[in-house]
Amino acid sequence: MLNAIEADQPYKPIREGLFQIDPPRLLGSQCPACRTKVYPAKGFCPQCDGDGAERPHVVPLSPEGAVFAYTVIHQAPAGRKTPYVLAYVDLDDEVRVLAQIHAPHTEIRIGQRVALALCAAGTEDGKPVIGYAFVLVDQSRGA
Amino acid sequence: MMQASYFAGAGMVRFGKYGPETGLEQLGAAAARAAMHDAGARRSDIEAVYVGHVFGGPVAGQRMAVELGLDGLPISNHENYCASGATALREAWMAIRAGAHDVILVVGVEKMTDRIKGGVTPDPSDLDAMQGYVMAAGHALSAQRYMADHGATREQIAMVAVKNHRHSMHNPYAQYQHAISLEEVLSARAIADPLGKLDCSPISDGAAAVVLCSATGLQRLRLNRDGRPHIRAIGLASGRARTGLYDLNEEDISRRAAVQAYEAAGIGPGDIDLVEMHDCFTIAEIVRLEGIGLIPRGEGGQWTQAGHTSVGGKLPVNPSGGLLSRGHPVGATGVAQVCELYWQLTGQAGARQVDDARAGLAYCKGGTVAGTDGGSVTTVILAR
Repeated sequence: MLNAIEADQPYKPIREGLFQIDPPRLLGSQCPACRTKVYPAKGFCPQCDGDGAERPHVVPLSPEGAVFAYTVIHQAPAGRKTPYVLAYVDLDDEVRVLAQIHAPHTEIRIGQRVALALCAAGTEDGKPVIGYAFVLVDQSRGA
Repeated sequence: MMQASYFAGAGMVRFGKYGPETGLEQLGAAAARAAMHDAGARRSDIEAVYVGHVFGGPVAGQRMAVELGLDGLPISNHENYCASGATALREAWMAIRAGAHDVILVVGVEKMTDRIKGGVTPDPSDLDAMQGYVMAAGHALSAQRYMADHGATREQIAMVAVKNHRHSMHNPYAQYQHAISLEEVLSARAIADPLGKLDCSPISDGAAAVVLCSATGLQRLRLNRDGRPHIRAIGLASGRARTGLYDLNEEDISRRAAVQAYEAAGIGPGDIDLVEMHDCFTIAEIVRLEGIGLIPRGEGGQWTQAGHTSVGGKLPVNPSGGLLSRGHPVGATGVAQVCELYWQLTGQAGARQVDDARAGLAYCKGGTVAGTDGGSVTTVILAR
């Protein structure tokens, strides 16, 4: 699952192996025995500890889900602009992901439908660094 | 036959903010001297030094030991984030049980105010940290779900801070020794909604120490064994990878660490007279007490409001003031908790004394790892 950094990539992800660009999807792993999906991808299944011959394989995860819990963060260590919204999002394939929601907090509720969006996360060695967040579903369709 | 581990003495420095003239080495050494004095232990009595810290840098324990004249001994440094001090205690306990040493100095120490700004975070390489997770965020999410799932109120959560500040008015080692009102907690500056500044433990400097002995060690120090607080058990658990749509406040890591300790001690939650609970944030005290089986699931808010967790209530929690009000120099906290239990079990706790305290539990939770239910949890059961 580990890949050396490819020098000719026009961007850098915040970490290798977390997501694909087109279409934008987080990459999880699915256990061939119990079908449980996890994010980020793992080389074992934490659910069934299955020791079958086949290891979990990497799968793209559902790009949409619902907010399970969220908070507005007003104080963070230097380098992060506040306030921002951080949430647990339950993807439609029953994987819980922690990420920011790029939307006014007044429009967010528990159960709110959100969609994955890749976003800029600074630059490194002159290349854009790509991360991910969630946006309100209506917002993503309009974009 | 495993050797029993007795507390021969305890000592602390007052938690708070110290200037540049007082380093980690001096804080740790002052607490150590107080504990050694309390135990009547000379330098030559100490066989090994176990030190817990997080931000102290390389070989902080050895830097401190030179100040104490304890150079040359076996010294080890233990890091489990906010459970570091308790982890050092556990390692010392295991060394005594194994018969490796008879008299051990355990020190928890931290100098934070000159290096931590804006709250503590997971390691920057952690996936959650990369998304902007700070410790306050995790507890804010926990609080929102706790209220949604159990019908608890914001006021009930805030009452944890009011109660712990009231307790530490009587603790000379506490960073804060004044009461606060519910209104002050509710109107404090927002940190991570719904939590405000007074729902969060402060960034603190401080140190705490205990002298731990086998029965042979007690004889060497000419101390009596009768009624002396001793370690019944210490549990240590790490976070498990979670899958699916789990209950955010399930606290399985807490349950696992508590079961370890209860089973090894041969007692149950009903035998615990008081608790020093890792209230790094108000909501954490509630969900963790539930996780270790001391309060029925979902009732922690009501218990706090009813005064059941106050000194004088049916389960006094954090008579010291806890992390919220005694302060939270992270590596020192686990040792400070057992200092408090020691003073409580020996009737030395003054105006914050819990009546007829015979067995106490100290709980620490240190760190987070993305995708798991925590970093480390320790559960120390001390009894007389």
